Amino acid sequence: MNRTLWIGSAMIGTLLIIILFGPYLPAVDGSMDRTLVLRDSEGTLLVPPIPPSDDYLIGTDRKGVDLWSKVIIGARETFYIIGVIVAVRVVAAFLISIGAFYFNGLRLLMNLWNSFFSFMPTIFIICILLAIPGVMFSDHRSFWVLVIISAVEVGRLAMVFYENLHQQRKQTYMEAAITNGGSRWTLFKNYYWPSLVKELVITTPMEAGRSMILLVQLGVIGIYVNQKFFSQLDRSYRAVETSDAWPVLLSSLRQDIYSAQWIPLAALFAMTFSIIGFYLLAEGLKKQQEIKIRRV
Amino acid sequence: MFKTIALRTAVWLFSIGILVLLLLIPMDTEFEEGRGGSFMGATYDYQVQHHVANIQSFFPYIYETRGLGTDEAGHPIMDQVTSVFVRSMLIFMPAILIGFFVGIAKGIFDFRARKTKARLIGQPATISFLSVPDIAIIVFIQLSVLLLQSYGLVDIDLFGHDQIDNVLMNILYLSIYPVMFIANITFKTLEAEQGLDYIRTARSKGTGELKILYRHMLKNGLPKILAYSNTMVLYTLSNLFIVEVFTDYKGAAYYMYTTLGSPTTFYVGALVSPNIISQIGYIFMFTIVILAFNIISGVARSAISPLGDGR
Repeated sequence: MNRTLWIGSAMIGTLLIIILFGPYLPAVDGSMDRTLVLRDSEGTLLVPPIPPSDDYLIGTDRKGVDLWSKVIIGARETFYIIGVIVAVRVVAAFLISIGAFYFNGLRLLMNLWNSFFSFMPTIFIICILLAIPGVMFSDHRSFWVLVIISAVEVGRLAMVFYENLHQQRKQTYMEAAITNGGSRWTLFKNYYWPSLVKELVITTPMEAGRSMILLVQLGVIGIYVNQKFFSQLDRSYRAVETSDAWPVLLSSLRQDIYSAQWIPLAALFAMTFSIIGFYLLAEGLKKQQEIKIRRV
Repeated sequence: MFKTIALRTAVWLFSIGILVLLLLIPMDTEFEEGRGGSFMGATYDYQVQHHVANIQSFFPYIYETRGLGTDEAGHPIMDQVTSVFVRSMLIFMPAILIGFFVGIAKGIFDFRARKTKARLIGQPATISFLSVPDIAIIVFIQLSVLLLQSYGLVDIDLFGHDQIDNVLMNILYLSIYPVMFIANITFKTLEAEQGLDYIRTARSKGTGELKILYRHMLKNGLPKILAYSNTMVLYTLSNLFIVEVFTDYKGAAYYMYTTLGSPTTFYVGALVSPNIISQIGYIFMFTIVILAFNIISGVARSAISPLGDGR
């Protein structure tokens, strides 16, 4: 009985239900109306953010939108972003690692790429790349942000896959396969590919958790995937996030800690829940594979 | 060992070269203004010759000014960069040191408690701290402090950089990850050492458990733990960025964020990075720190397996 896998699957399953049926769940207001002013039972006026009450389960955000609905509906967009990041990372790392395994030139390139990123903390490099005006004012900024967030970790992931292939090559039965006259393609199809897929099954939820952590960090310093510039009073322009994704709820974290703790708490809870879910799922799958090997 | 250092320095030169290239990208942005100077959009047009010109003027500038030159007010930029950088290191270095010492202690505790009733606050606690995003822990600490403050029990300044409170709190925030990371590595290393033959030999000869743990297992595992320090330093530097920006601690990472023309604000006409020079200064300083830890972990790695210093 693999308890880790069960708990992890249950957590991710809950998230899947929220993603798929979010707007139809009980107590969710799909229209996400804004409440500007509210009068409580004693007749005093309340302005948003409204604290948790009977009307609003976990309060409202600064625009007066019911936070519970916002978190539930925002799940879809959040996981859409995560999905794109993980997909780009995994596919790119797959191609790079397989290429590096067979061609020396590509291996050199991968090592250089890795060493470059090993000298720059992820957040620094993301900020530097995003500040390039060509990216900042691009019409497809969201696209570029996604590409950059994915690209900075591709090298590390490629290294994981490469290491896996390398380990596989060292196995004794590989020698047997070679002496039996297995061609390059047969070896790849029957030995390297299955081992990569096994690694992939564990790595994908792991990466999802990692990208979520990165989104939390970027959210705190004010970088979001969907941003538009809006005019401020002092002739400056501020990027305003135009989405319902969870990291956006952290945008005014420093004020919220004093006045509206429920907003960051809800966002952090949702994100931490999914991160732990992903990690447990990965751990559980790993355990499951070990159990399977033992049985055979 | 010499080879390790030379190799890593070469990679460092390569990295800093690319970063300087990125920072020297020309800022030829044309703003389209609507009525009353409102922002309609901006077009960016990259031209290679401007980039080359930027690079060509950069190196003579560094050479002539013997440092980073002076800002508009005539203060040497180098002094600013170093003083702000020292402020950052004031919270970063203690966090790393605490990470090592407390982390190894926690790892040993986890290892010794793994079969007792106290194991719940051992390894599983370490793992859960590692998987929760740091900012969630930081927010939790801050909310607790605010709660205690509302009862008048403590008086801690949470935001800013000039109080001793700020320094101490930031060290606390920053050291959470390194402690847990090192504890986890220590635990895994000790677990791997435990089954080895020489441990069994030592045990059969009647060596005490504690002596085996410290004299043999930990001593042999230490290079392995040090070898992972690079990852930890990188992650902690990322965290330094978040913590400084979030708590308004005006250190090097904070200024780097604001001088990058932080990706979230800009002024029409005045773009984006007037202080590329100081950014390059900060980048230089930070990568030097990373290089130092990189060399330490590289030397440790080659101490584990003298031949296999490939990575």
